[in-house]
Amino acid sequence: MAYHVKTAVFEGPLDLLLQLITRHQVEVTSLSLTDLVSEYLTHLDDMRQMDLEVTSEFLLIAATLIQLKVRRLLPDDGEVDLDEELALMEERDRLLSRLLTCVTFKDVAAVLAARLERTNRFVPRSTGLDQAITPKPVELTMPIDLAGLAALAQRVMARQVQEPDLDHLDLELPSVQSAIDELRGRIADAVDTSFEELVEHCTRKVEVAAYFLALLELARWGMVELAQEDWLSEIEVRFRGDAQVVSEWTR
Amino acid sequence: MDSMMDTLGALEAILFVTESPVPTAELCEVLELGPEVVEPLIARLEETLNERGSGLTVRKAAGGWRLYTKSEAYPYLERFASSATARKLSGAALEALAVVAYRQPVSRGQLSEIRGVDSDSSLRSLERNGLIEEAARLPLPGNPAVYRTTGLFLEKMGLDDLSQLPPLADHVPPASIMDALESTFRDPVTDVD
Repeated sequence: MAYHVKTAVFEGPLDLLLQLITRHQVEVTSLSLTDLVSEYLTHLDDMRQMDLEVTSEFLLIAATLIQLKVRRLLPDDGEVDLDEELALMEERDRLLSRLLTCVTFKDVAAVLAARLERTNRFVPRSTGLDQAITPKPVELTMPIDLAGLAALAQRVMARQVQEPDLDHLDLELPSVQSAIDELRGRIADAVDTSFEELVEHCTRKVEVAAYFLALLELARWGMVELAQEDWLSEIEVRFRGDAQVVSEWTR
Repeated sequence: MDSMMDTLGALEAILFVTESPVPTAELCEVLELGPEVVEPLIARLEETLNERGSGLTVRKAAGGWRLYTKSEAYPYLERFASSATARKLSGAALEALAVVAYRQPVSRGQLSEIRGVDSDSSLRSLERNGLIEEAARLPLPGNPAVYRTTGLFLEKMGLDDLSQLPPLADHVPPASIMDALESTFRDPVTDVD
């Protein structure tokens, strides 16, 4: 191969070890521990050069491998510390068993993948009960016709235009009391009027609200009669006569 | 047999609207029939669907019954069914899934130990896909979570329950790989016995 790109196609040190070992196995050559160690370390160097993170896991296994290799290079003359020797063998067996477990799970993962693929061809309905038991919107008879809708839209949009009235930003809230006082005079003069007319001079929503509350209060006292044909039409206000009322508003 | 036809229709209707496999016991409860009637009824529904060349079939999965399109219909569904175009799991995620499936409940640390690589992102993607879920927290420093597979996992795998997972023993590496590993690590010349 003239052009050799080294890529890290292994996932983690166990995977790397397995690849190194099984590759040789495919080539029907047995990989000696010495070769395994040097190939493993070469890969670690490559990873460093490619700025790949060499995790502690890689280093830990490298240490075990090097220890095993060193042990083999030492003359076997009975001068070894048996405890150390046993610990190393234990470490080796642990690595070996981890490799076997890893291979096992790789193999079974392939089986699961095949199952997943096969089952994936059976498609269930992805909508169902959840939607069916969600209450459907209550059937309504439309309270408005097309022309009414257009008129409503116009009114709503006209209101919106007035809305950004930042000049009037103050914290002085209009008083219901003064609205009541004012309305008592005006309604007596007007006799028949409408809420819309009464609040014509108002520039802010809070003022309209104050007048609305005032009007309700007057209605409660029986000074006015309120009527509205439907929720879109004007609120008619009819004066019924001033009354001397003692309430929290008349002090 | 008129009432039999009615229950058959009712069964089909239930399986049509439900969004996850319905256990036999639940079908019995709703249909007010015993399992000795409901089970043949399910078989009958499957036969009926087959006989009339329906694109649907009844399958048992995750401990219940659900209507699925037949696998032959799959090529026509790509445009309509989201699962037909579902993204494939990565190899890493599959391996993590295999470990969770067989070793559950399993912590992230145990999983990483087995795979020899940090498996955090795999776990998160599996959790996001609804294939695994947190089973508990261990009373250890940092309260690590342990994970288990979900009902959706069983359904996606076409398994009725976890006991149907292929035995792990069938997947221990073949002798040739064992030998390769052993011969590399266990050099009889240097081994102490």
